[in-house]
Amino acid sequence: MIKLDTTSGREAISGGEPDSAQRFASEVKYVSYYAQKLADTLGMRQLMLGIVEDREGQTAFRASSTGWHGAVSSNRRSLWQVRETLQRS
Amino acid sequence: MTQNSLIAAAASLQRLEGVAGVVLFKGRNTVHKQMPFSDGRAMDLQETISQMVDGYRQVRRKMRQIYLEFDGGTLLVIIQEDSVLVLLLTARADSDLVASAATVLMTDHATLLAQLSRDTTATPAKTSDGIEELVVTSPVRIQEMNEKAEPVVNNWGQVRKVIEGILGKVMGRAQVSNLMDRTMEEGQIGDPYRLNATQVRKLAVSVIDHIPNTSKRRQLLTELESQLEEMNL
Repeated sequence: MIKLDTTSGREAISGGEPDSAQRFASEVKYVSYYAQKLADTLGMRQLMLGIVEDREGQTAFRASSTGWHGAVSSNRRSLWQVRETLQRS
Repeated sequence: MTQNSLIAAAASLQRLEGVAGVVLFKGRNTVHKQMPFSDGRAMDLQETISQMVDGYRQVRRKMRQIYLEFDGGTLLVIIQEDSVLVLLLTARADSDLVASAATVLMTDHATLLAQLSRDTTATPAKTSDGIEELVVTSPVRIQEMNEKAEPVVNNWGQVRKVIEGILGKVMGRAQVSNLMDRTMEEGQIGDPYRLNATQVRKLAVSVIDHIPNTSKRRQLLTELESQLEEMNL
Protein backbone atom coordinates (compact mmCIF):
# COMPACT_ATOMS: atom_id res chain seq x y z
CA MET A 1 0.00 0.00 0.00
CA ILE A 2 1.32 3.41 -1.00
CA LYS A 3 0.37 6.58 0.87
CA LEU A 4 0.54 10.12 -0.39
CA ASP A 5 0.25 12.49 2.54
CA THR A 6 -0.82 15.98 1.54
CA THR A 7 -1.37 17.51 4.94
CA SER A 8 0.78 20.33 6.34
CA GLY A 9 1.17 21.82 2.86
CA ARG A 10 3.83 19.35 1.75
CA GLU A 11 3.64 16.06 -0.08
CA ALA A 12 5.14 12.98 1.54
CA ILE A 13 5.00 9.57 -0.07
CA SER A 14 5.54 6.31 1.76
CA GLY A 15 5.29 2.57 1.06
CA GLY A 16 5.78 0.56 -2.12
CA GLU A 17 8.77 0.27 -4.41
CA PRO A 18 10.36 3.62 -5.43
CA ASP A 19 9.19 3.30 -9.07
CA SER A 20 5.65 2.36 -8.06
CA ALA A 21 5.50 5.13 -5.47
CA GLN A 22 6.64 7.70 -8.03
CA ARG A 23 4.11 6.48 -10.56
CA PHE A 24 1.38 6.47 -7.91
CA ALA A 25 2.10 10.06 -6.90
CA SER A 26 2.16 11.30 -10.51
CA GLU A 27 -1.06 9.49 -11.34
CA VAL A 28 -2.91 10.77 -8.29
CA LYS A 29 -1.83 14.38 -8.91
CA TYR A 30 -2.74 14.26 -12.61
CA VAL A 31 -6.11 12.60 -12.10
CA SER A 32 -7.11 14.67 -9.07
CA TYR A 33 -6.37 17.90 -10.98
CA TYR A 34 -8.86 17.00 -13.72
CA ALA A 35 -11.23 15.31 -11.26
CA GLN A 36 -11.67 18.59 -9.39
CA LYS A 37 -12.65 20.32 -12.66
CA LEU A 38 -15.06 17.47 -13.42
CA ALA A 39 -16.53 17.62 -9.90
CA ASP A 40 -17.18 21.35 -10.33
CA THR A 41 -18.90 20.70 -13.68
CA LEU A 42 -21.03 17.92 -12.22
CA GLY A 43 -22.00 19.92 -9.15
CA MET A 44 -20.19 17.50 -6.87
CA ARG A 45 -17.60 18.22 -4.21
CA GLN A 46 -14.65 15.89 -4.52
CA LEU A 47 -13.14 12.71 -5.85
CA MET A 48 -13.40 9.84 -3.40
CA LEU A 49 -11.81 7.01 -5.35
CA GLY A 50 -10.07 6.56 -8.70
CA ILE A 51 -9.02 3.55 -10.76
CA VAL A 52 -6.92 4.23 -13.85
CA GLU A 53 -6.19 1.37 -16.21
CA ASP A 54 -3.82 1.19 -19.17
CA ARG A 55 -2.17 -1.70 -20.99
CA GLU A 56 0.47 -1.94 -18.28
CA GLY A 57 -1.92 -2.37 -15.36
CA GLN A 58 -4.03 -0.48 -12.84
CA THR A 59 -3.42 2.40 -10.46
CA ALA A 60 -6.04 2.69 -7.75
CA PHE A 61 -6.34 5.27 -5.00
CA ARG A 62 -8.77 6.40 -2.36
CA ALA A 63 -9.08 9.63 -0.42
CA SER A 64 -8.10 9.42 3.24
CA SER A 65 -8.03 11.92 6.09
CA THR A 66 -4.39 12.72 5.31
CA GLY A 67 -4.35 12.52 1.50
CA TRP A 68 -4.50 9.43 -0.69
CA HIS A 69 -3.69 5.77 -0.34
CA GLY A 70 -3.71 2.99 -2.90
CA ALA A 71 -1.58 0.78 -5.09
CA VAL A 72 -0.06 0.26 -8.51
CA SER A 73 -0.60 -3.19 -9.96
CA SER A 74 0.31 -4.99 -13.16
CA ASN A 75 -2.73 -7.25 -12.74
CA ARG A 76 -6.10 -6.31 -14.11
CA ARG A 77 -8.76 -6.80 -11.46
CA SER A 78 -12.47 -6.02 -11.55
CA LEU A 79 -13.61 -2.60 -10.38
CA TRP A 80 -15.58 -4.29 -7.61
CA GLN A 81 -12.48 -6.14 -6.35
CA VAL A 82 -10.33 -3.00 -6.41
CA ARG A 83 -12.96 -0.98 -4.55
CA GLU A 84 -13.31 -3.71 -1.91
CA THR A 85 -9.54 -3.81 -1.40
CA LEU A 86 -9.27 -0.03 -1.08
CA GLN A 87 -12.18 0.20 1.32
CA ARG A 88 -10.72 -2.49 3.57
CA SER A 89 -7.33 -0.81 3.74
CA MET B 1 -22.26 -1.51 -39.07
CA THR B 2 -23.41 2.05 -39.58
CA GLN B 3 -23.25 5.22 -37.52
CA ASN B 4 -26.93 4.72 -36.73
CA SER B 5 -26.23 1.33 -35.17
CA LEU B 6 -23.40 2.89 -33.16
CA ILE B 7 -25.70 5.65 -31.87
CA ALA B 8 -28.39 3.10 -31.01
CA ALA B 9 -25.85 0.93 -29.18
CA ALA B 10 -24.51 3.92 -27.22
CA ALA B 11 -28.03 5.01 -26.32
CA SER B 12 -28.96 1.49 -25.23
CA LEU B 13 -26.23 1.58 -22.55
CA GLN B 14 -28.53 3.96 -20.71
CA ARG B 15 -30.98 1.09 -20.26
CA LEU B 16 -28.54 -0.61 -17.89
CA GLU B 17 -29.45 0.02 -14.27
CA GLY B 18 -27.75 3.05 -12.74
CA VAL B 19 -26.55 4.60 -16.01
CA ALA B 20 -27.68 8.24 -15.86
CA GLY B 21 -25.88 9.58 -18.92
CA VAL B 22 -23.77 8.66 -21.93
CA VAL B 23 -21.45 10.68 -24.19
CA LEU B 24 -19.49 9.17 -27.08
CA PHE B 25 -17.01 11.39 -28.87
CA LYS B 26 -13.90 11.40 -31.00
CA GLY B 27 -11.89 14.60 -30.89
CA ARG B 28 -14.45 17.35 -31.45
CA ASN B 29 -16.92 15.03 -33.11
CA THR B 30 -19.72 14.20 -30.65
CA VAL B 31 -21.27 10.96 -31.89
CA HIS B 32 -23.87 10.63 -29.16
CA LYS B 33 -24.71 12.73 -26.10
CA GLN B 34 -27.45 12.20 -23.58
CA MET B 35 -26.76 13.64 -20.15
CA PRO B 36 -29.18 14.60 -17.36
CA PHE B 37 -28.12 18.25 -17.51
CA SER B 38 -27.74 21.10 -19.99
CA ASP B 39 -25.82 20.80 -23.28
CA GLY B 40 -23.39 23.49 -22.08
CA ARG B 41 -22.50 21.52 -18.98
CA ALA B 42 -22.18 18.32 -21.02
CA MET B 43 -19.82 20.15 -23.39
CA ASP B 44 -17.70 21.33 -20.42
CA LEU B 45 -17.54 17.76 -19.16
CA GLN B 46 -16.52 16.49 -22.58
CA GLU B 47 -13.89 19.20 -22.93
CA THR B 48 -12.26 18.40 -19.57
CA ILE B 49 -12.21 14.64 -20.23
CA SER B 50 -10.83 15.29 -23.71
CA GLN B 51 -7.95 17.36 -22.22
CA MET B 52 -7.25 14.65 -19.67
CA VAL B 53 -7.18 11.86 -22.27
CA ASP B 54 -5.05 14.00 -24.62
CA GLY B 55 -2.51 14.39 -21.81
CA TYR B 56 -2.13 10.63 -21.58
CA ARG B 57 -1.92 10.41 -25.38
CA GLN B 58 0.91 12.95 -25.46
CA VAL B 59 3.03 10.73 -23.23
CA ARG B 60 2.03 7.71 -25.36
CA ARG B 61 0.16 5.90 -22.66
CA LYS B 62 -2.42 3.48 -24.04
CA MET B 63 -5.29 4.12 -21.65
CA ARG B 64 -8.18 1.69 -21.43
CA GLN B 65 -10.42 2.89 -18.66
CA ILE B 66 -10.72 5.61 -16.02
CA TYR B 67 -13.10 5.18 -13.09
CA LEU B 68 -13.74 8.27 -10.97
CA GLU B 69 -15.99 7.93 -7.96
CA PHE B 70 -17.14 11.29 -6.60
CA ASP B 71 -19.21 12.03 -3.52
CA GLY B 72 -22.37 12.30 -5.64
CA GLY B 73 -21.85 9.90 -8.54
CA THR B 74 -19.32 8.14 -10.72
CA LEU B 75 -17.77 8.81 -14.11
CA LEU B 76 -16.60 5.82 -16.10
CA VAL B 77 -14.47 6.63 -19.16
CA ILE B 78 -13.70 3.94 -21.74
CA ILE B 79 -10.96 4.82 -24.23
CA GLN B 80 -10.19 3.16 -27.53
CA GLU B 81 -7.64 4.87 -29.74
CA ASP B 82 -9.07 8.39 -30.34
CA SER B 83 -12.62 7.50 -29.30
CA VAL B 84 -13.93 8.12 -25.80
CA LEU B 85 -17.10 6.80 -24.20
CA VAL B 86 -18.16 8.55 -20.98
CA LEU B 87 -20.80 7.12 -18.66
CA LEU B 88 -22.32 8.87 -15.66
CA LEU B 89 -23.28 6.27 -13.07
CA THR B 90 -25.38 6.35 -9.92
CA ALA B 91 -24.73 4.17 -6.86
CA ARG B 92 -27.17 1.58 -8.24
CA ALA B 93 -24.98 0.75 -11.23
CA ASP B 94 -22.98 -2.46 -11.47
CA SER B 95 -19.77 -0.77 -12.61
CA ASP B 96 -18.17 -3.94 -13.92
CA LEU B 97 -21.24 -4.80 -15.97
CA VAL B 98 -21.42 -1.29 -17.44
CA ALA B 99 -17.66 -1.26 -18.14
CA SER B 100 -17.88 -4.62 -19.86
CA ALA B 101 -20.87 -3.59 -21.98
CA ALA B 102 -19.21 -0.31 -22.93
CA THR B 103 -15.95 -2.05 -23.86
CA VAL B 104 -17.85 -4.56 -25.98
CA LEU B 105 -19.57 -1.67 -27.76
CA MET B 106 -16.25 0.03 -28.52
CA THR B 107 -14.67 -3.22 -29.71
CA ASP B 108 -17.63 -4.18 -31.89
CA HIS B 109 -17.62 -0.74 -33.54
CA ALA B 110 -13.83 -0.31 -33.68
CA THR B 111 -13.67 -0.16 -37.48
CA LEU B 112 -16.48 2.37 -37.73
CA LEU B 113 -15.00 4.50 -34.92
CA ALA B 114 -11.62 4.49 -36.66
CA GLN B 115 -13.28 5.87 -39.82
CA LEU B 116 -15.06 8.72 -38.02
CA SER B 117 -13.73 12.24 -38.32
CA ARG B 118 -12.24 14.01 -35.28
CA ASP B 119 -13.80 17.30 -36.42
CA THR B 120 -17.24 18.67 -35.66
CA THR B 121 -17.95 19.24 -39.32
CA ALA B 122 -18.03 15.58 -40.18
CA THR B 123 -19.29 14.79 -43.65
CA PRO B 124 -22.40 12.60 -43.85
CA ALA B 125 -21.52 8.93 -43.66
CA LYS B 126 -21.98 6.94 -46.83
CA THR B 127 -22.96 3.32 -47.01
CA SER B 128 -21.32 0.80 -49.31
CA ASP B 129 -23.89 1.52 -52.03
CA GLY B 130 -22.92 5.20 -52.01
CA ILE B 131 -26.15 6.42 -50.44
CA GLU B 132 -25.71 8.96 -47.67
CA GLU B 133 -26.66 7.66 -44.30
CA LEU B 134 -29.20 9.54 -42.23
CA VAL B 135 -27.72 10.20 -38.79
CA VAL B 136 -30.55 10.22 -36.31
CA THR B 137 -30.33 12.55 -33.34
CA SER B 138 -33.97 12.77 -32.29
CA PRO B 139 -34.49 11.22 -28.83
CA VAL B 140 -37.82 9.73 -29.98
CA ARG B 141 -36.18 8.04 -32.94
CA ILE B 142 -33.32 6.82 -30.77
CA GLN B 143 -35.84 5.33 -28.39
CA GLU B 144 -37.50 3.49 -31.29
CA MET B 145 -34.11 2.24 -32.45
CA ASN B 146 -33.29 1.09 -28.91
CA GLU B 147 -36.42 -0.96 -28.73
CA LYS B 148 -35.48 -2.72 -31.94
CA ALA B 149 -31.82 -3.12 -31.03
CA GLU B 150 -30.50 -6.43 -29.77
CA PRO B 151 -29.46 -6.42 -26.13
CA VAL B 152 -25.76 -5.60 -25.82
CA VAL B 153 -25.12 -7.76 -22.77
CA ASN B 154 -26.66 -10.72 -20.95
CA ASN B 155 -27.75 -10.80 -17.32
CA TRP B 156 -24.45 -12.12 -15.91
CA GLY B 157 -24.38 -9.17 -13.49
CA GLN B 158 -27.61 -10.37 -11.84
CA VAL B 159 -26.50 -14.01 -11.90
CA ARG B 160 -23.19 -13.05 -10.32
CA LYS B 161 -25.06 -11.36 -7.48
CA VAL B 162 -27.17 -14.51 -7.00
CA ILE B 163 -24.00 -16.64 -6.79
CA GLU B 164 -22.42 -14.16 -4.36
CA GLY B 165 -25.55 -14.37 -2.19
CA ILE B 166 -25.58 -18.17 -2.17
CA LEU B 167 -21.85 -18.73 -1.68
CA GLY B 168 -21.71 -15.87 0.83
CA LYS B 169 -23.28 -18.31 3.30
CA VAL B 170 -20.26 -20.60 3.22
CA MET B 171 -17.30 -18.33 2.38
CA GLY B 172 -16.14 -14.71 2.36
CA ARG B 173 -16.82 -12.27 -0.49
CA ALA B 174 -13.20 -12.17 -1.62
CA GLN B 175 -13.14 -15.98 -1.76
CA VAL B 176 -16.35 -15.97 -3.81
CA SER B 177 -14.85 -13.46 -6.21
CA ASN B 178 -11.63 -15.47 -6.55
CA LEU B 179 -13.60 -18.67 -7.09
CA MET B 180 -15.60 -17.04 -9.90
CA ASP B 181 -12.42 -15.71 -11.52
CA ARG B 182 -10.80 -19.17 -11.27
CA THR B 183 -13.86 -20.88 -12.76
CA MET B 184 -13.84 -18.46 -15.69
CA GLU B 185 -10.14 -19.02 -16.22
CA GLU B 186 -10.66 -22.81 -16.19
CA GLY B 187 -13.49 -22.45 -18.69
CA GLN B 188 -11.42 -19.99 -20.77
CA ILE B 189 -14.21 -17.44 -20.53
CA GLY B 190 -12.83 -14.02 -21.39
CA ASP B 191 -16.01 -12.00 -21.04
CA PRO B 192 -18.95 -13.55 -19.16
CA TYR B 193 -21.28 -10.79 -20.35
CA ARG B 194 -21.13 -12.18 -23.88
CA LEU B 195 -22.32 -15.69 -23.01
CA ASN B 196 -25.76 -16.89 -24.02
CA ALA B 197 -28.35 -17.89 -21.40
CA THR B 198 -27.37 -21.61 -21.44
CA GLN B 199 -23.69 -20.77 -21.03
CA VAL B 200 -24.43 -18.33 -18.16
CA ARG B 201 -26.39 -21.09 -16.38
CA LYS B 202 -23.55 -23.57 -16.99
CA LEU B 203 -21.00 -21.11 -15.61
CA ALA B 204 -23.10 -20.48 -12.49
CA VAL B 205 -23.38 -24.23 -11.84
CA SER B 206 -19.66 -24.81 -12.38
CA VAL B 207 -18.82 -22.13 -9.78
CA ILE B 208 -20.99 -23.89 -7.17
CA ASP B 209 -19.53 -27.26 -8.26
CA HIS B 210 -16.26 -26.23 -6.61
CA ILE B 211 -17.79 -26.68 -3.15
CA PRO B 212 -16.12 -29.90 -1.87
CA ASN B 213 -18.78 -30.99 0.64
CA THR B 214 -21.32 -33.07 -1.33
CA SER B 215 -24.43 -32.37 0.73
CA LYS B 216 -23.66 -28.66 1.02
CA ARG B 217 -23.00 -28.49 -2.71
CA ARG B 218 -26.36 -30.16 -3.50
CA GLN B 219 -28.14 -27.76 -1.17
CA LEU B 220 -26.51 -24.71 -2.81
CA LEU B 221 -27.19 -26.03 -6.32
CA THR B 222 -30.88 -26.48 -5.46
CA GLU B 223 -30.96 -22.91 -4.23
CA LEU B 224 -29.22 -21.73 -7.40
CA GLU B 225 -31.67 -23.61 -9.64
CA SER B 226 -34.59 -22.06 -7.81
CA GLN B 227 -33.23 -18.52 -8.18
CA LEU B 228 -32.29 -19.00 -11.83
CA GLU B 229 -35.81 -20.21 -12.52
CA GLU B 230 -37.18 -17.04 -10.95
CA MET B 231 -35.00 -15.12 -13.40
CA ASN B 232 -36.37 -17.24 -16.28
CA LEU B 233 -32.87 -18.45 -17.03
